[in-house]
Amino acid sequence: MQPARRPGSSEPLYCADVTVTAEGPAGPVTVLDRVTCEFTAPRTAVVGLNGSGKSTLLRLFNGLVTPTSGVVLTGSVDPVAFPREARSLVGFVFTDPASQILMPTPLEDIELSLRRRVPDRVQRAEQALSWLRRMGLEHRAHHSVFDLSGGERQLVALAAVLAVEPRVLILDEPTTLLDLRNRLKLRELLDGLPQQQLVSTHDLDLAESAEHVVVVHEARILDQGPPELVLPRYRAWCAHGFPGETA
Amino acid sequence: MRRSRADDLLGTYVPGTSILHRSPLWLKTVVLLGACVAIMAVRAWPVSLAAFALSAVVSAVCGLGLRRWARSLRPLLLLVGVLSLYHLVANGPARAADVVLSLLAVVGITRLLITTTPLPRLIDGLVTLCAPLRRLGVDPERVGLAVSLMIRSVPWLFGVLSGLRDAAAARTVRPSPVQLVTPAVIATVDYAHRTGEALAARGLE
Repeated sequence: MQPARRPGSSEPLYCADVTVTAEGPAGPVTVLDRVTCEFTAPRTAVVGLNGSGKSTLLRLFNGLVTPTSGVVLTGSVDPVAFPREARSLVGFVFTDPASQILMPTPLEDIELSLRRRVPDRVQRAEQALSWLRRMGLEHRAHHSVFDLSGGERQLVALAAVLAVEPRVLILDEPTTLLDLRNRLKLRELLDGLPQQQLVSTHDLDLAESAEHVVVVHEARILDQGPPELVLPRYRAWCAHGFPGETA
Repeated sequence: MRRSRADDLLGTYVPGTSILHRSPLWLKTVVLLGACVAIMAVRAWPVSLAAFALSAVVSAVCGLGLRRWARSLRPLLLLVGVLSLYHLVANGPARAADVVLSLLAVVGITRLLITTTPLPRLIDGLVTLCAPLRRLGVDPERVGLAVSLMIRSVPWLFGVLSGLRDAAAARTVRPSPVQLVTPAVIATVDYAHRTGEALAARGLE
């Protein structure tokens, strides 16, 4: 069905006994509770209810979130000690592309990504334009990002992340704000990418396309395995209550 | 579309091949900013009027269109009204005409620079200009990034305000400007936080 992704050299994403707590109004809140995991599949999907800790888990791997205790490894890099190295290894796509796109137009935003690695101005503009071409957005290069549709913005955000050629792609609910057509388009693009992917999502079709699915529930990993086993269980839990819940 | 109006305030690049598009940035900047300084220095309204008219002509010649030129001045309407009223009463018609026409001319002229130069080129120019600051421990790249973030955030802030007004209208509430301040500040802090996160994630901090 789906085109085979080139597994390439995988960068295992590894957590050992990781706890993350945040200050709440009524004392500390545990966002992740002694989580141990290792993601090596070409695409790993993280599913779970709102507020279950999915986003926090994803943010551990590029050092946007620091664990209160435990060890995190992104490939062979410790993102707590070397956030810069971890972030050059990992491209991160946020749910809301509006907050990820930092420049007024798509072309400028992709050029921003390229500033460090392509010092020559003309080459930089050319490369940025070729990324937009790959996304099918060449005609939008000089439009204000506020005039783009949600789907187009998400593609621009993705292009800006891919432009620095990360080894791993982490996507935090990338399809949540998209309509079905754009969702399918984004998935097709993701399917064609060589990068290892870690995706949190409520889009179970996208989760189904992963080789490995992880269920996060109440700050812990409740279940993981191949999608055809894990997703039916997850659906049943959502409908009839998670283990240990009194219905 | 309130948002596009907000975009008009600072102007965005319009691709083209006119002489202004092709001339080097430093030359453009020196000529256009020099004209601005001259207009401000010369206190004669016919000069300001001529410069104002000239900005319209150049805008049309460079393929930017008179409509875009006129639209760029619309956000100034209120300010122009208040200023002309004040100067008319306080300093007489000649001074009022000079102040208002100078303002319009300067906005019209600086607009030419912004609409005929892609923002990354402007930022590159700014970074070059700030290069001597490196000796004082200032990273010029950071200055450039800060300015471009500011330019991007202005339309976003207008969008927040119009969104809040719409949300209130949908609930048939008519909020006073003061009541809009709290949610606007919260949204802005949240935006700043997410922007910071995006900067960090993209390795740009």
